[in-house]
Amino acid sequence: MNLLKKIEPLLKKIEKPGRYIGGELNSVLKDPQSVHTRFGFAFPDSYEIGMSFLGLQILYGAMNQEDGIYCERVFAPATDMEAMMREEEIPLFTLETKTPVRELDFIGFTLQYEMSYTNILNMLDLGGIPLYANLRTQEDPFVVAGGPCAFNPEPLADFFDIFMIGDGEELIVELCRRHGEWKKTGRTKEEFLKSIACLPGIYIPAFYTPVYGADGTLQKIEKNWEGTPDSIQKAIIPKLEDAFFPEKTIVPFIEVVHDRSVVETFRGCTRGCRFCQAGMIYRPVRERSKEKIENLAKELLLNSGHEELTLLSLSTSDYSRFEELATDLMGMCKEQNVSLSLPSLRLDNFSFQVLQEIQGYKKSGLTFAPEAGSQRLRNVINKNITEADIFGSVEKALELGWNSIKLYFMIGLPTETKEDLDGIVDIAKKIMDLNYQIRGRKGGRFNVTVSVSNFVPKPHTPFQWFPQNSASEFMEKHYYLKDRLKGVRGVTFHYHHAETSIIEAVLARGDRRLSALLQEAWSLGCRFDGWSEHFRYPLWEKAFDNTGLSMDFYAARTRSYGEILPWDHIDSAVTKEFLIRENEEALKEALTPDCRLGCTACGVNQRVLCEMEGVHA
Amino acid sequence: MHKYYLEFSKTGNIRFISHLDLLRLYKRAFKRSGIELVYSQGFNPHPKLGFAQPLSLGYEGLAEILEFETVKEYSANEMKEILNPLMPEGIRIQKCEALPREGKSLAALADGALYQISIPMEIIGKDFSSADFLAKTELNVEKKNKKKELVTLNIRPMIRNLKEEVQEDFFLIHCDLDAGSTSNLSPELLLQAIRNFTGRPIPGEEVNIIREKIYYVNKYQI
Ligand code: SF4
Repeated sequence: MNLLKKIEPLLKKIEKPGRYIGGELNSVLKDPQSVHTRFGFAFPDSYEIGMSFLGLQILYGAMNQEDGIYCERVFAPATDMEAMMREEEIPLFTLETKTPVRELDFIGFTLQYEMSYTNILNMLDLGGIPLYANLRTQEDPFVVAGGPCAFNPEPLADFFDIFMIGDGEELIVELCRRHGEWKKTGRTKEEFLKSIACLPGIYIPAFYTPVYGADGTLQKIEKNWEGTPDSIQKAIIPKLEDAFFPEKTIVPFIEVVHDRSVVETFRGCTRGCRFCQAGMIYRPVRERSKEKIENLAKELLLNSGHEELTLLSLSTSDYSRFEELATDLMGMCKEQNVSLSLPSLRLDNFSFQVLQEIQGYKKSGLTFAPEAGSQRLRNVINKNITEADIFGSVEKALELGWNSIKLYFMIGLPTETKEDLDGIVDIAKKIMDLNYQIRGRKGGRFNVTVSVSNFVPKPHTPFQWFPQNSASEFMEKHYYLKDRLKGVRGVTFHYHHAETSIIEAVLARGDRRLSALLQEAWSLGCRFDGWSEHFRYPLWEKAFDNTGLSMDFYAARTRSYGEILPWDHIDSAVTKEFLIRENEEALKEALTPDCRLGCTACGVNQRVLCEMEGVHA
Repeated sequence: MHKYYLEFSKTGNIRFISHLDLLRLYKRAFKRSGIELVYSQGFNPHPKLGFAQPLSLGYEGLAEILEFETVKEYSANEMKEILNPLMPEGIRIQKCEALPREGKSLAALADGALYQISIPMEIIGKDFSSADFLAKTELNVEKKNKKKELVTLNIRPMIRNLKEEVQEDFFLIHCDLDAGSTSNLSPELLLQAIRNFTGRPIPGEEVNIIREKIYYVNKYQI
């Protein structure tokens, strides 16, 4: 069924109708009859955010290059569109062919952040698909998910048939191929699930039942079918070089958050920051060759007409041939009237040269992420950046005429004290002092922005056992910093909503009982919780009350090493021993070196070769 | 420097993208085509291209005009052939021609436009007569000024011509309106005057607006 005729009249009545029309450059049209598997790639947020996400472009391309698979896109409609769709009884549809999502074989959500979970329920509901997996019939699509949050899938487990853990670009195609084969057999959906349960990266939640003790903690995770694996190994693409990467990406008509050509230079990170989930779950570091990156950049620009190129990775400068690559790309971009942007550069001499060249006189701010205000606390979190590094770079930046510095910190980190908060203020003050020293009292406009986020302990990190600060503790710290930074001229202070961070922490380390909470929060009206203008904490509080669940149990409780954690059966390939060791080292304020200097035994090399192991030893 | 213009139509659902979106689309199409545009000087160079008149989001256009400058001389027809396949569904380039090198931009010369406003019969009713409508010396509507205050505006002087036509279930209004930098009447305001005149609500989503032609000062022809 094509819903176009029903959708068209709405387009004149809603904001930004361009979100819903499809037909963008490089979007794919196929005859749905010609494929064995129709996949709806669902991004549980707005079109503008989803279209800025590289993972969508990769998976869309990987699936659509297969003749037997048709992948279309689905986004969360904005609230005005949702209201009209409900009024006119128009179900959630795909952008490409305006097909109701319930007519597809799969609807696959990407789990990028916890605060999008209520949107998932809303989208299923708008699609006319029963929320709970066990209420769906043979006719309903398989509801699947992947992405970083799938490393703790439990809060969503009751709503999903399949989770994909780890690198997705090969796994998702394999899933669709197997689906095509299964379809020919006419067997039941359960038989399909059984047939894929042992593929690395596949997790079928219905084959596991958590058992809780009297104190509410997990006692065990029981298997309901002996054929299912004891633990789920994440899917790993050993060599990124051979993995699919799109040369053509969809170019939106309307303005989105990021609309530019993006090349992923490498996946993973060797630095080992102890709070960082991405740094743990994407191990090991795998690079694309410089030649491949440059070729991809050329093709992407040619096929999109983009006026901007950027590189994606967890830390741009760590690419092993970064200087050569940056030099080449700068040349290429200049020739083509394309601007190059290089995020999160480590500020050494070379980077300054690069920034001078690519930003010229229109210098945007320089960014530093010390994350913690004192050396002691930076040792705890294993963030290997010193004040000498920061001030050295700031001096250089001031001499070169930069006018604004952005500093990112986290509060609520393990072992944090008042001194660590004072350290944040001191760094900001010292930077202002440096400005006076170098440029004099009347040195012109110069400002420092201090942004503080609230620490959310994440699964699969060394801090996964750690209690989060309460909302009032966070707020006290916000006021403390605000008070002290107020007096420093030229400093702007930003901080994140404490209550959002608490809900995020609950969902991040939650268990299966949270499905009731999510359903309740959604029925009370929670949507787009990641947007401050939509987030409604009182509704979440009510949802906790109505379901009898405790916020503190999930967010503010210290777990012991012995406790079975809801995500223990999901194997990120980093061992629990490593995480425990790292947490102990943290408490000793001891640094663990980057594993380019030598393997620090996280366990990943038991599964796959680490290209970067000890390359700088 | 070599100046050209394209005449194109914008129909179907692509009318739901704004003129800024369409301008970006053209910039990118030129980049992909290999046709080299002249870029402005300075650190953040911009290609030189622009519409004779921006078209509002939601309107269709049958003869929209984009002017641009290229580094080299190209065959106008060849450019049309190269660019057309790069256009999305709903955008069709009908013409590409060279512009005289000297003189003002088309954007500076544009001063009027021909629109077709189509309203379902049952929505507008039977009482609208263009003769009676035009006979009014004052057609006052309310409009927000730059300071966002509501002001009253007489739009009658900005209507150059207006005819009606009944086509099956639709009432068509063909009108020449001021559309330039000195005087500009948006069909939206005309619609407001029609609402006032007929006393009917005429919801915006029931109305289809098509711009058929752009006029230039002193009957300048391109
Ligand atoms: S196994 Fe060793 S080299 Fe590989 S990612 Fe882990 S710590 Fe680094």
